[in-house]
Amino acid sequence: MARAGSAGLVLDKLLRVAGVTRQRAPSPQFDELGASLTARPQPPWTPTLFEHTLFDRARAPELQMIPVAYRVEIYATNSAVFVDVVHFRSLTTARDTMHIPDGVLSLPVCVATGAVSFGAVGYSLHKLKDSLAERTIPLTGMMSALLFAGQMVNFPIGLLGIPSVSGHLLGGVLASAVLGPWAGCLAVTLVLAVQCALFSDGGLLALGANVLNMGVVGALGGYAVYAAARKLLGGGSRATVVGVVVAAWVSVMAAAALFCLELRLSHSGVEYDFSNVFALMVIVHSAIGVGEAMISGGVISFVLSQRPDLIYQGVPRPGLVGYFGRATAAGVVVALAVAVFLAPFASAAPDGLEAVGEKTGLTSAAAAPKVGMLDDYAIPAPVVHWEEAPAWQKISVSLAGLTGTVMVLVIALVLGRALKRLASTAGPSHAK
Amino acid sequence: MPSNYLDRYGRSASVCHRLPPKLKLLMTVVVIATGVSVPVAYWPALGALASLVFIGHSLARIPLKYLARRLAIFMPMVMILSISLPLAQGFRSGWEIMAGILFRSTVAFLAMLWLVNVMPFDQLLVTLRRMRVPAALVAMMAFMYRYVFVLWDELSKMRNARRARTFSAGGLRHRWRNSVQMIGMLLIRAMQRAERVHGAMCARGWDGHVRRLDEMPD
Repeated sequence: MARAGSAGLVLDKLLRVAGVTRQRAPSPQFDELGASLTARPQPPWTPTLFEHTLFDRARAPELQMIPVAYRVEIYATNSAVFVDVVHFRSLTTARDTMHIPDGVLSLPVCVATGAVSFGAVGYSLHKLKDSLAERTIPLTGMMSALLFAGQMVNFPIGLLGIPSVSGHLLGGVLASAVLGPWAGCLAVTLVLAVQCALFSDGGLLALGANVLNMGVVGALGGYAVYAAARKLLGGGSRATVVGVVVAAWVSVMAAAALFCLELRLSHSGVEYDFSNVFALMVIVHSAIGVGEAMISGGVISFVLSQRPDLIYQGVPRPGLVGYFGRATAAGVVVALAVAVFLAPFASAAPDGLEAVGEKTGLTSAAAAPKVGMLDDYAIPAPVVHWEEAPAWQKISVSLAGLTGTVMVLVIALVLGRALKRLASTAGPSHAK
Repeated sequence: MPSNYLDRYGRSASVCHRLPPKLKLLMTVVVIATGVSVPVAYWPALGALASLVFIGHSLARIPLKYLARRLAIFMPMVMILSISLPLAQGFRSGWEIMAGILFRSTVAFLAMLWLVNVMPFDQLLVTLRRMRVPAALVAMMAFMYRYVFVLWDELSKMRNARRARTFSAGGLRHRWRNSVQMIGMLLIRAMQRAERVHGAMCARGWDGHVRRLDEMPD
């Protein structure tokens, strides 16, 4: 998501390539720095760009989570250093993409997802009461605070040379890799609840849906995927990093799939075909998932290299029940992630959809307009439209899925290799 | 970071602020639920609801400028979500759903904003506790609220330290590594702090049960 000011930056970049420096009026706050503008040297000196974001607390306290970026340009010549401070306020960041506001989902869907989340959170609390009750409260509270604070660290995406596009950490898998699944689920739930209560970010009634998507599926289901992948790879520190990378990506995709399902169910009475929207969601969340996987994997591999004892090792509980429970949870989450890829295909094939619609009665609303349009050969435009749409969906969705998978594999490989190097330099104490 | 940083208008003493906390919460839930469930065809009802929320805001003396600023942040986000519905169909259909989402989410957002600004967080915690939300959950929330400020300060200290030591930001890969390591370091410090705090709590007789002052026997 491009922020305000990015166009100016692109222009800057182009001008700089052309060897021209833009003259800016010094901002009133920085008069003492802006004064040096008058004596600015002309190219051929190449400017060194030093950029960081910080908070404009005094001027706009209600923009708490919205970073206000200051760009500091430092021009160094043989005899002097010139500093230019440019500030621009950003309006939106990518962090809002996954919080569902009120009004998007219908009341029954809100109530149903709320009930499921209520059960899951209650069960997590119950599970935590068994073990180390007095220790969980400070640890979980601190982890929530950490996720909250960690979301203020921006990750520049650098798309098309625009430095102000940035992503951030969501952190479900990270929380449960450190605290275990139950406390991780609670930590994410708390973050969502407080973001709703303090920033009105994410709706009050949609809190249940948000908790279901990110806390229950993201942290609990993500942990199941992580544990399964880790066990499959032998349980070492590399297996941990690979597990986190895979689980982070899968959990974002599963959350997207759930959101699609919730959106579909909320508007089941409306004659509208959702498959194109789902295709869009897949593409966007494939990218978000890659970012999440990179951040989570990087953080975990850093923690592994410094304090490997902080990673949750799991309660050793041999027994078929625990194993099958985890395998089922992992299976459900992976299936959800796959479903988001398959949804456009399924609904793009009218025959299959008709059959499913007849059986369940659920999708008949979506099937109705499509069949009607195909029957009505008197109007060519909709028919052409429907001929085009599936091709676009198929290509884009497959592409997004393929890129995402390849990217996740590459991240896992690179992080694993970096970790091996770290471990070999640091000695055998970091083996696990 | 100042302590009133998060809820700036929560501490004033208007009519709305003096309402019983449970009533405030209930009113907000009712307004949002009505807004979500009214069909778009009954737009006058939605408009009435919106004006009700607006009256609530003006009674709570929340500045118009603040509302406009928050809406300026909120609207693009919802616009992107809702415009994708007609966009995906080549602007042939989906306008109805888009209008519905826009109307409802704006009303619900304003209602929620009202609640945030008439109910400080500590009051919310006490209310949640009285509504029989599990004590452990409320305690975790209180703990989180307490330490968010500490971790924010810690983060800005780390940023300052990094800024003092690096002249140029380097390439994209370098910046990602920097940010990742910063979060990793913050995580390690946070967990160490949690252990220290837990030790201190244990030394003062913490047994896992949260007690409230107004529940204590005299």
